[in-house]
Amino acid sequence: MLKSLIKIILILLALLPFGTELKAAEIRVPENYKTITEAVANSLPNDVILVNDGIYNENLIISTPLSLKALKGPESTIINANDKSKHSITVLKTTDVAISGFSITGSEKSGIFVSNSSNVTLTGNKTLYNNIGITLSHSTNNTLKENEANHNIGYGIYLDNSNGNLIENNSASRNEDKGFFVSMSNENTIINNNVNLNAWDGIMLWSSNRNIIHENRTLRNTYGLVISESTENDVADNTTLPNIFIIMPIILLYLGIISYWVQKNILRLIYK
Amino acid sequence: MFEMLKIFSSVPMVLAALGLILATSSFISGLQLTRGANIIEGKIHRYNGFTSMSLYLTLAVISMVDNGIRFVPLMAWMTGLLIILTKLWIVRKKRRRRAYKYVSWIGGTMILMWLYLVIIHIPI
Repeated sequence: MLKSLIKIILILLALLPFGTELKAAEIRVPENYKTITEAVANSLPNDVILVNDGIYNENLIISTPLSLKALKGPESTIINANDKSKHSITVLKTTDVAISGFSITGSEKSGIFVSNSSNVTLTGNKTLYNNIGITLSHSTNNTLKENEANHNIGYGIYLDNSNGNLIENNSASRNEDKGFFVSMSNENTIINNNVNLNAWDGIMLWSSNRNIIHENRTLRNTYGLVISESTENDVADNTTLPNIFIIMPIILLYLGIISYWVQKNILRLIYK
Repeated sequence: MFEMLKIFSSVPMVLAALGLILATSSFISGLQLTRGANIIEGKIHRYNGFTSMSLYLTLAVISMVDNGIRFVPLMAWMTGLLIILTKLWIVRKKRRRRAYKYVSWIGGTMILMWLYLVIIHIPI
């Protein structure tokens, strides 16, 4: 009797984790912790850290699955690299991290550096005035959506040995070197991004194979799209020179001719 | 059509477009003038030419106010101004017939300059 009772209790104990899900905690900055670094250090896996507006002078290192969200968006929630020689945010050897809605600036390395990680989602961030806006290094199956990686000294978005990532609806413009630099990275999907006004290349693929590059706009870069030592990439429907850049000057030249004709006839009436 | 009109949402683009229109009118009247003196062509040439030069200087000032004074853009604006002033100098020294022969080439260069200004100012 006692044995069977113990058995039933053990079975119930074994089933307990399946019946009750552990709920992710919400941590608020600066209400619960003054800094994001403290909040990250005291978080458990899958917690959600909600950050209120303000300027945070920090270098974050995230190595557990969690969500980091700016409540009031990138205009008023700024992470400024405290130590400029380090990345502003480092996501290191982890999975299932989401970062959204921050302005990230002031690093002489990368604004966001994702290393040896997977299933990281970066959404709606602005990485401005860093050396590199966003770097994915040895990372797979990550998603970058609606981020702005503009005005950086080197590259806007840099993929180094990173495969199977989705990079969609981002902007990498006005960088002092390249907009996108995809180096030794395969099977990534780069779709519908704005990559304009970069000092050197818009999108550069080097030693990268089987990537999908569709519907990107690469305007007024020195070179729009450069593919070197790469094979089997699917490149289609990218815009490097819209028709307006050809049509508008021709229309204006015609208007100039019409303007000459009109002026000539008016002056003829005056100086008969 | 509406999409096309949206590109005139910036002041520099409007100025550059006007500049190209006036420079084209000035260029055509200038070509007519090289055939022989004509009061109407002379007035069109001068009025359009000086207005487009004023627009050029305004665009240069707007560019420097917006982006600061940087070496390469400054040199580019100065080169453009030098082309305009060279043309004026040749036209005013009509006795230099050898140089006067090439004035239409300088006019053509100025049209190319305005084409570049229009293209560079079309908003992305």
